[in-house]
Amino acid sequence: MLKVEINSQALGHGEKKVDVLARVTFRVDTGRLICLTGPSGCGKTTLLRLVLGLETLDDGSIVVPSGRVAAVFQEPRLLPWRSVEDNIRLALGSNKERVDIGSLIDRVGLAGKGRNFPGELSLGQARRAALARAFAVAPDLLLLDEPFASLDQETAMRLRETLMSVWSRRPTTTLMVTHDLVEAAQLADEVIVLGGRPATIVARRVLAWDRRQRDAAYTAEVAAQLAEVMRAALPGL
Amino acid sequence: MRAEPLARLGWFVASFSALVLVWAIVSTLVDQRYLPSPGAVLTVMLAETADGDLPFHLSMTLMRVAFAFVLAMAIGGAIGMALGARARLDRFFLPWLIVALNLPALVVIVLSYIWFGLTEAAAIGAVAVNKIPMVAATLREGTRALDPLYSEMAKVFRFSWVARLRHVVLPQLQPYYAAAARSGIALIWKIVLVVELLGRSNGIGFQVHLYFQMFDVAGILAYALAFVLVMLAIDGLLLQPFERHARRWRTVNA
Repeated sequence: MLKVEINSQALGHGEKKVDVLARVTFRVDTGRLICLTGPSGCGKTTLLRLVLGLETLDDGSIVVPSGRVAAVFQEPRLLPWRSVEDNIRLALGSNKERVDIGSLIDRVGLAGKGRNFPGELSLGQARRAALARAFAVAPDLLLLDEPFASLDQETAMRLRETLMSVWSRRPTTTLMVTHDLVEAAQLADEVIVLGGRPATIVARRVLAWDRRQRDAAYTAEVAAQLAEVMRAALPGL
Repeated sequence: MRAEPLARLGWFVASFSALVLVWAIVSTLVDQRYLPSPGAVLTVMLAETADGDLPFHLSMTLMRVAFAFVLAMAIGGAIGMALGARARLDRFFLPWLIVALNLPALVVIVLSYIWFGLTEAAAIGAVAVNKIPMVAATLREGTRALDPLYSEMAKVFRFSWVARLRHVVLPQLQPYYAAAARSGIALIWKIVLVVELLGRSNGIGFQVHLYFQMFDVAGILAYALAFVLVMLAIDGLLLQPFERHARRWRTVNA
């Protein structure tokens, strides 16, 4: 379980210091997928970076599950001087024998690309490789920062399917940041909407339906409702 | 792609032949004592090689270059990476680095011989000390330019210290190491000659000094060119292939 209790968080130094987050508390129960959404610049990525330990928390506490953490960043962040296979192998560290990297590469739809350098991949393929790397470590906590942004609809949809098929094999405690409300409605067990400056939680919605039974009509409806809630909570949007 | 190494060789041969041709023409215009012809120098080179003198002095100089080079790259690289990574260290030691960069090579050599005696260690050490600040300055720049995106990724995925250095940091520093190596090897061998001239009884520098006293230009050129040829071979057969190998991931998508 991931437990986030932030009281305040600022970024920058001196005169440029800005309060980004006010009180934000939530938890992600083991094996659940929570989507974090909100207007751009509202501190979603800062929150993710705090959970990853890449920023120091000013006031509050974040308890991450013991064990391994994996992330898929907005930029795939594959080492360009190492092959796709090597990128995955390096993330594994010492327990590399137990993971079949080849079949994982096949499963994310990169069959035959294992020996390629990241520079030879499209953005969609690079994201797939980053996804494979994240799942390879069998994480106890997975963080996804807009992993489907700047892809065309078709590619994004197929990548979401890949994510869900890999995720369902081993449901992992996941916190995912996304702009796309339809995406959130499709994937999340719960959607948390951040907003304001500094940001707080302005809305949250639990989606009880089994995600495999959610159809286009359901996701569109939920997305519309979420948009409505966001507009009500954040006038001027 | 296949034709590329061949074309590279072609250009090299053409350029080199033109240089020799210019030399041959100029040597016919002046006194042979001042500038002997390429043929005359080659004759001296072959004679010195046949009696073993040239290979001996060449290998002594090469040995000094190799030791000084490895020392300078290792120590200078470590210093540069430390300064680039730690802002506080950098602020404190940057003036030291600037002083070191501006210390004349000759002063370092003379002081080294005075303090540590006319020994091999003093000679090689003096050469390395001359090069260390330049390597440090180059690698300091490289370390400051490291991309935090990759360091963060390595932190999240808990890369070991060794993996971070080998797979994240060093590949990014490779161009800086290559630049330092390229300029380093050229500078180091020139300083090695000075060190040999001042305080060693063998090596190319010692021989050049000997032939200078005898006013034997052919001998000076024979030894100098023999070493230049060896350095060209090292550059073409070691440095360049290594750089191409290290750069292969860049060229694939170009």
